[in-house]
Amino acid sequence: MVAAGTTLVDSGLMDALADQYESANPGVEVSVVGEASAQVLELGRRGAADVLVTHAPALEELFLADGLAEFSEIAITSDFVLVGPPGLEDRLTGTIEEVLIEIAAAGLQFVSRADGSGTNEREILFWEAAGIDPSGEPWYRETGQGMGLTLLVADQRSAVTLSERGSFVAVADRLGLAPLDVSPSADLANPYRVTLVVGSSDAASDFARWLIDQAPNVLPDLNRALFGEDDLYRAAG
Amino acid sequence: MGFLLEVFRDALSALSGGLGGDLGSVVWLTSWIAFVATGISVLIGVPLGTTLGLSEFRGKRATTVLVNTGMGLPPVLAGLVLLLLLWRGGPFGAWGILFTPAAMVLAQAMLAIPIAVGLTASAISGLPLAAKEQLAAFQLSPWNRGAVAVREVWPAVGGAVAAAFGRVISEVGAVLIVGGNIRGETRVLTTAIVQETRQAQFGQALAFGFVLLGMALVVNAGITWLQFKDAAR
Amino acid sequence: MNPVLELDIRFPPSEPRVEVDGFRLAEAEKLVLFGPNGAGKSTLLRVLAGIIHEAEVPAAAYLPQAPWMFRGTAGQNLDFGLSADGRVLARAVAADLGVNDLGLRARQLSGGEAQRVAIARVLARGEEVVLLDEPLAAVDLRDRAEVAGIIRRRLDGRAAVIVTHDRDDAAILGDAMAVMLDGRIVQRGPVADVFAQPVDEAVADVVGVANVLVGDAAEVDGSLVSVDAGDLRVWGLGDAPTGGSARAMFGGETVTILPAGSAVGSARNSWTGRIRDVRRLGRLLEVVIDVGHPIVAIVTPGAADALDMSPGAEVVVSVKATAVRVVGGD
Repeated sequence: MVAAGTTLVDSGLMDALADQYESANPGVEVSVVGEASAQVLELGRRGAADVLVTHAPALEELFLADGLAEFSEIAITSDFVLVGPPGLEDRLTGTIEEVLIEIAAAGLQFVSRADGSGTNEREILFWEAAGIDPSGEPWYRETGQGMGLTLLVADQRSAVTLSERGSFVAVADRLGLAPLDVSPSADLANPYRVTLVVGSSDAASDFARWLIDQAPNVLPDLNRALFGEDDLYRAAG
Repeated sequence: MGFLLEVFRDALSALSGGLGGDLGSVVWLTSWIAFVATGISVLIGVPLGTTLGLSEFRGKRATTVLVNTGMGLPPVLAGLVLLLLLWRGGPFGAWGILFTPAAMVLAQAMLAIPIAVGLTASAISGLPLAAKEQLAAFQLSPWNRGAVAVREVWPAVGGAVAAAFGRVISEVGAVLIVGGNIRGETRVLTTAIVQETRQAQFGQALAFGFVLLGMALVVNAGITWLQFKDAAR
Repeated sequence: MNPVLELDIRFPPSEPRVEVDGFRLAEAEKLVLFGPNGAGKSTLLRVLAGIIHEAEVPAAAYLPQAPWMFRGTAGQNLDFGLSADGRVLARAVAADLGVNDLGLRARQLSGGEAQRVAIARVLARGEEVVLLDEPLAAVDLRDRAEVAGIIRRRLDGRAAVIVTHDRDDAAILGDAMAVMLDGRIVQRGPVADVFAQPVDEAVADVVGVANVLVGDAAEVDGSLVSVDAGDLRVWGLGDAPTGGSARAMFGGETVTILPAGSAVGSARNSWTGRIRDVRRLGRLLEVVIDVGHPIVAIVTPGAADALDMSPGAEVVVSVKATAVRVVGGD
């Protein structure tokens, strides 16, 4: 059993990784469940998932502090990207904080996932860094849904949203959304943590270890095959 | 058992205030969207169903099959079709109602109309031959004839309304797709339940579920009460 | 006179099969459709009403065989399909028929009351042609003649087709009568003629044989009324107003044939005449005696043997007054 953060499932990467592992290890079956990071960790807590792939540092810390992980490592990194209706990319530039302050000041529509996902957790941290509390503002909308549906809402309502880059690239050609220019880009790094829940099977342990060890080898090919971009998902470290 | 008890306790405490302002807006939105959608489905579906039930024409059987299929229309399919129609650049994109309550009303009406049509038609078709013949003998206008027929079988038509309302209020697939579950705008009880479940807020999800059940109970109790009151006379 | 209704009806595929060529209904004619169950009477009426087999038929007021009471009060049911004037008229007819409490729930009405509401409703309609399917079926026996008389009066000036299998109802309601068997009209003529002279045994079997004497109500004696039909005075039960036209009816089996010169005691209806015709009617004999008016009697062969039944023989015929029904009106 595997559980993964929604963005990795939304982008298609998680299924591709599982396929690759299964073909290298005949007879092993990996089930991929797409949920928000909070839910993924909850599944781990309840023993319903063995290998957790999450990107919500604050929640992960709590999980590790409770001694629920056999082992846990940051294995894959991608980026967050602010996307919005075309025409905004010239107007909104600067650091992520500056861009968010500008959005709030202009009252530009912003769609938040508000679903306890890693993306959502990071978005909240960005707002805090910008010194703004957007909740309840008329321009701030919360979907409570996954990345895919949130991107659809942002597109149709001409709003800005924060997305994991792979999830955005996977649907970008069908939407009218364009990435905003945020610098420095290092602020937008999105680390995924692979965690093996205590008491999991040897097979699960092997898969978790494979994800951590083999990421550098398999990611470049998957990037090209799935997204046509070389460095969308990178091995951490 | 400990887990279930804990969730149940969470649900009760959520009901007694924990859901806060969200519950109010979600219940209000759920109610008016469901009532408007049911109303539309009744206004369109009952006359259509009456016409179908009273008239004999070539292709009536095929029409009935179509309506019955519509009664089982998968909500997500309805949602998808509506999403495509309302998508900016799509045929009705100019309306700009995707991810608004208006789109949710449309989606629910789309699902409820076949139910109103099908159940009304079957109730009317079930009228005894003597009643149908007497109705024809009155030589009323089509509208009045339909009104007399509906009045005659109204407990069954009331059941059709209840079924349409039940379909509308319990539906999640279509309203999630075309509504987007936007907090305070398009978040209804069913989509809120999905969301809370995905975030492992089982207590809150269950609390929303209780409210949903309560609403369905109130509406059905009302209609059943009317039916029994009528039967007693 | 132009017929108000004329059509050919042939639709073998439907059940029961009905095949009638050149069905005509004259202006203001009251035609009774008579026949056993399943003969196609109601089906023919439905065709005439335009309910089935979309024939070119004039708009008609139609009373179905089983009038249906819809939800609501008797009054609401009375109003269905009627104009404001029609509703006033319907109330008057209903009052004639003894339906006074229109506030009752229609579903709680007895069969007879419901039928009266349905009759009032259909008679208040404005169409030139009225079609009634067994209008008296649910009316109590003791009220039937009265209700039939009211229907007859309210049909005045309009053409009507009335389905019945009751001889008395047919005699009161109809001018003409058509006997249906197996989807066809096998005999059609004035009511009295059809009853008196069935064309064959099959028709005789269906209609029975009845004597209908048309004349004027002459005298009242208690519950008895006399009708003068030509030279013949016939006493019977009824309440026809004296001076007005009236009909006296009695079945052929109620007629007794006695040897000439017999003392007939207290029988008021006894006349001397000559035998005109004797026919075999199944196991029975149909004897026509001319007493100034042909009287048809049905007798057993045994009774016939005791008498000289050859045509021309003089006999006395007798009918009990209580076996004769007298009804006022045309």
